Amino acid sequence: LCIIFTYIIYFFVLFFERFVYFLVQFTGVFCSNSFVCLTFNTLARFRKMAKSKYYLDTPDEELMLELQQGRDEAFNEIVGRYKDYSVRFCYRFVRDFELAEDISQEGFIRLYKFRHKYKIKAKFITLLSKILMNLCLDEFRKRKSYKTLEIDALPDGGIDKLNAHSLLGDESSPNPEQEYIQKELGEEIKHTLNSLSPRYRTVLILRLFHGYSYKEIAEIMGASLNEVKIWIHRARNQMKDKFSYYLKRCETNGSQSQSAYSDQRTS
Amino acid sequence: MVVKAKVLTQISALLDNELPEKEALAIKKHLLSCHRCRTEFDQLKKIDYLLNEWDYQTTKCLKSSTSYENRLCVRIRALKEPNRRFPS
Repeated sequence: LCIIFTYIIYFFVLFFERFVYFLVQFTGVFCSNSFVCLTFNTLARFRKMAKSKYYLDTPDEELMLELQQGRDEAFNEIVGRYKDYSVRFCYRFVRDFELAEDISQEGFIRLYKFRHKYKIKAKFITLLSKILMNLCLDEFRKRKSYKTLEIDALPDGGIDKLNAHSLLGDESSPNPEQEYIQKELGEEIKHTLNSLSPRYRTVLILRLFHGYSYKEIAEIMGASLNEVKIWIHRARNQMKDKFSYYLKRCETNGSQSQSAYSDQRTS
Repeated sequence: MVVKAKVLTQISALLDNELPEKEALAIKKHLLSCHRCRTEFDQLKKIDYLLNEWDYQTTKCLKSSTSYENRLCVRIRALKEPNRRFPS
């Protein structure tokens, strides 16, 4: 009867493992003396699952160490924590959502593949950023050789959307002209960023978009603080030169339309 | 001229709040007195603002898609067992 009972529990557990794992743990403790052999596997599995619950408070570096010891749940937790971050990180480089997802997955795979080489030297996020950055730059190099960069630099569906707007006479947007200017400007920015050398582009993305400090950027890019400082300065100046027309327009228009991008962040 | 270039680099660092207090004070004093450097500072600030705002608008609702983890899982399993075939 006992054996049948255990089997029933076993199958029950197999089908509803996520919902009842805490219950099984309890029964496991309860009858651990007599059915160790049969329930051992299941219990081990659920101990692991229970453990993944505790990962919530574990710092990233320790998660990596857990992963090194063969616990894949730790990796799940890492992915869960950083998937949005890494997709956004790649998107800022390539400006293409699908590609960004692809590259960020590649980054995680690399992390998994070389997990045994991991040593705690810096913050985990620095390492992840470093991997992703290198992948993105590789991607750029690849594309440059295929010369597809120009095609991808075109707005993705932007033109169609614009036409649709004007054809339908869409009045939902408060100021179509303003919107058009914004879009133009956006394309311009995208293009200009692409035309910078990879080093300057990276520095700008890390500094302006992610808000990393110089020290962190130096760690990510593997450069000295002074170099980073000078790179940022030069990159800024290049951007300034390319947008001098925009600055002039700002001056002539006065403070009223200081930026085509109205500040909606304050709300 | 060399001094000038150095000041410009410092301005960029000042924008990022990366200068130690003493140097920051010195640069700020200089900005008050030197018109050219001040316009430079303002322009850089505007460009920063522009880029930042653009980035914020384009990435604010960016999230990984729902099938992200599944696809990653498949790829990692393929990594573990390279000979096994998975339905695409």
